[in-house]
Amino acid sequence: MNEINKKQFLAELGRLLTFMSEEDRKTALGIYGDMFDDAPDEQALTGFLISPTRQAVYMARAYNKKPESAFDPMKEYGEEPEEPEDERPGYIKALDHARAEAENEGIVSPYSFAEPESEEPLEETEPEELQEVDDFLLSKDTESEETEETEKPEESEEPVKNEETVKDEENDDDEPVETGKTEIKQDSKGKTVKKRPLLLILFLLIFIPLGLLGIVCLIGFAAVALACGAAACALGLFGVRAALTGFPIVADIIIILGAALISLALGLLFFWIFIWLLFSVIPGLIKEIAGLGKRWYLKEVDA
Amino acid sequence: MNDGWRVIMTVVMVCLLLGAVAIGVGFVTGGSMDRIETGLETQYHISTLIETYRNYIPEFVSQYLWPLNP
Repeated sequence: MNEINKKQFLAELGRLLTFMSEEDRKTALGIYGDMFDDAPDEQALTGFLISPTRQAVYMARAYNKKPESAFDPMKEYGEEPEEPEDERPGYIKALDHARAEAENEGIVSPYSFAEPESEEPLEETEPEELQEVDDFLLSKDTESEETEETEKPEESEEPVKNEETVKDEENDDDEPVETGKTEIKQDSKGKTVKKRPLLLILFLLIFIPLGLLGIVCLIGFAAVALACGAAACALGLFGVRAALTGFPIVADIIIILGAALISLALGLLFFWIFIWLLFSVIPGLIKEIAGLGKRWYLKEVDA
Repeated sequence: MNDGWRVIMTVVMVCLLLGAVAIGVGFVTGGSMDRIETGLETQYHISTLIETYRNYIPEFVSQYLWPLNP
């Protein structure tokens, strides 16, 4: 990695930061670009940054944390935080601290307020390499705390050796972690999920027949409601017609119109129940069954 | 859907209230159920219709719904 230049570094890093939003990715690349612009010795900076993969992991750790969470870039370098009330995004704080560390070591000159050069065309990275990085990011998220604790002192003391460590971990952790019949993977949103195929089969055996039975019953209720609504409305319309055509006494007409109005109201209620069952309850039941199946099959686990 | 329920229930309750008030007013102002039945029977043969449906419902149940609930 010692021969990598700024363009290659930013290109590869840009490909690895796909888990960030486009705006955040450009911001991060701009900050890295500023660091390269302000670095008298480019190779010293690449040595300090170790590798694009290492920085992608660093960004992933900072980016996935919520603002109120315990992530603190200072802690990554073994220092106490100076501004705990800072509400900037975690990855910005991480980048600022990395730059401050580089400035302290004389690798980067003090900030010059130069425009970021994130508009450079990015070189394509091989898909196999991206898969390796994704697996590596997953493995980094699922690593135990002990592993992280043993890494931290080495990062600040011997960055070049850490690159070898990272590469070794890439080679060792290509495959998703398997625990018995379950499988742990990272989904598109960056959350770590555990797949449980046995529970999925159990769900299919139990809830699909029950769900179909429930849907059939609801369709039956909807049909009954439709029939009742149609009958009530027909009776109401018949009452209105009868009241307006064949009764000479007003009191009788008022009674029949009152009964017809009640019948029409009940018909409207039955029609609404039919619509509610058909367009709300049945889709809701299907959605709930699907959600239950997803919850049975996929379980989010703490990274 | 909740707004729909609110609107429908409002309309239904208003219609039920108006219908009940209308029936009450009709009876208070001299309405008679015997006269209404006679008028319906004269014009629409309502007793024959009721008898027809009363016979049809058990037949419908035995023909279509009985196999589902023996």
